[in-house]
Amino acid sequence: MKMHSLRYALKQALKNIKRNGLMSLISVSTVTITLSILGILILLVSNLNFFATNLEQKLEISAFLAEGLSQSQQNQIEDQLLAFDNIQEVTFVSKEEALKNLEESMVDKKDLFDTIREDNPLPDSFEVHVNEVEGIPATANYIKDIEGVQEVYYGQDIVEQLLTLTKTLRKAGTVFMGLLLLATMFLISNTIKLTVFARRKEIEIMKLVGATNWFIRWPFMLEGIFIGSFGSLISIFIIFQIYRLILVKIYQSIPFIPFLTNNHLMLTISISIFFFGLTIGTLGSGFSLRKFLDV
Amino acid sequence: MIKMFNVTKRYENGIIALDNISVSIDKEEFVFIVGPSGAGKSTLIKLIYREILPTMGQVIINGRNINRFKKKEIPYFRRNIGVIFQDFRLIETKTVFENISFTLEVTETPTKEIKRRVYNVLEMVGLTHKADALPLQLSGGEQQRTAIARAIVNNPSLVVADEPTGNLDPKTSRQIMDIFKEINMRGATVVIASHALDIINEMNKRTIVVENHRIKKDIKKGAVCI
Repeated sequence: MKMHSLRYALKQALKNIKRNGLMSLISVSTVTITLSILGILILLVSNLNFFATNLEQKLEISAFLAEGLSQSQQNQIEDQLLAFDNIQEVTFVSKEEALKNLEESMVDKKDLFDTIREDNPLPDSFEVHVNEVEGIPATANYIKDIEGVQEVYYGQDIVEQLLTLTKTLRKAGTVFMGLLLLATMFLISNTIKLTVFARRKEIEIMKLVGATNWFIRWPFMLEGIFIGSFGSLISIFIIFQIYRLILVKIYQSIPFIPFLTNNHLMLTISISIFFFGLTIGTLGSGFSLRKFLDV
Repeated sequence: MIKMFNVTKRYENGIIALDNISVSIDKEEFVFIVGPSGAGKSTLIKLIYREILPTMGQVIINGRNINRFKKKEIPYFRRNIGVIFQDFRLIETKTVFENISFTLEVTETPTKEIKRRVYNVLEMVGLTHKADALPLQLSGGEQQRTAIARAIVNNPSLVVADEPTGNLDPKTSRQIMDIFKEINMRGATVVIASHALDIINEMNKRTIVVENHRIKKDIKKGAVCI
């Protein structure tokens, strides 16, 4: 495309947006509203994911050792634990430490510990952190068979329920996000189709005076670029304002729930939404035109 | 300039608009096509600027068979033909100047040249003072003069008009016809489909009478009666 035509297309695109004011406003609003909903959902799903990962990271296996093991036997058990693929890290907790921890978690029942302290019933143990939480039951089985390990505890029921819950949350979030993405694409491209349809006579006239298809297409696609990017920029602003408000509200009532606030994620979401709006605006108008160019 | 050999046009709904017609129009001729509504006048005009293709037969315009155009070639072919419609077909959101200059933008004419040529044709059709008006702010005659200016601004060798005075009063119609006469005098071939017999008779030009989808008469000059 020559410079002259590009300048003309740019000028026409801006003029058309102004002259078809109402249609332009409807298109920008559609892009803004749909992308805002999509963006908020993406943040919600990302947070659910983050929440699930956070919970999973808290899962560990406790391997309680038999009474009276020597230091070398303990080392041997530790080596055997670390040899297993799914085990990431092990921490030795002596019976004294275990008692101290218990005492600290039950400050209000101090008297109870006066008697226990003389004859500590708690065993030495290893706290085992895993790589893959799904592998916890298999890892626990492996640990159970190690000589010198008396008992293994990982809260089977809770772990299994939690894993099912996080899996379901992730799946539902992804499906819902996919559906909303499709709906957004459909809504935006349909609105653009409507604006093009409203101007089909104009396109027909252009064809009849000898305009090539690309000559007609450029101003429309530039309009799509302007509308798509403008709409998505507003939606990015709305998304983060709403997110900030939600965070403030939730922190006030339940401050211990972890939320995603890292800039990297926000930037990724902003860039994705911007390019999604831009692409759908451009391609939407490009494709909608096809039908009317065949004159 | 225009040659049609045994042309038949049957539309998708089965209606036959033209039935085996042959016609030849030379360069720089001024020709009226007359006939009652539904006789096939508009179909004949549409074939000339290739809005439609014939079902049978050949249509040769400027030495080229319109059946054999590649899609890419059609815009370039149309740039050499000025088309005027009964309903004007102006772009409502563009000013008079822009409606006309658009035709030149298409051919990437330099901006200065565009201005010069648009004002030239506006002067010819007497609309210089309305350059910045929008079509809906104009009278019917002014709209048609704008459409004519658009059709002739890039000096096409052929100008076709489909009922150009159909919506206009007799006085304005005569003014429009005077413009067509001038276009013809400047060297363009002019073909006009019309049923305004009184004006056609006044003009005293070659007239092709279409009736029942066939050519009934081809009168070189003189009064027409159908």
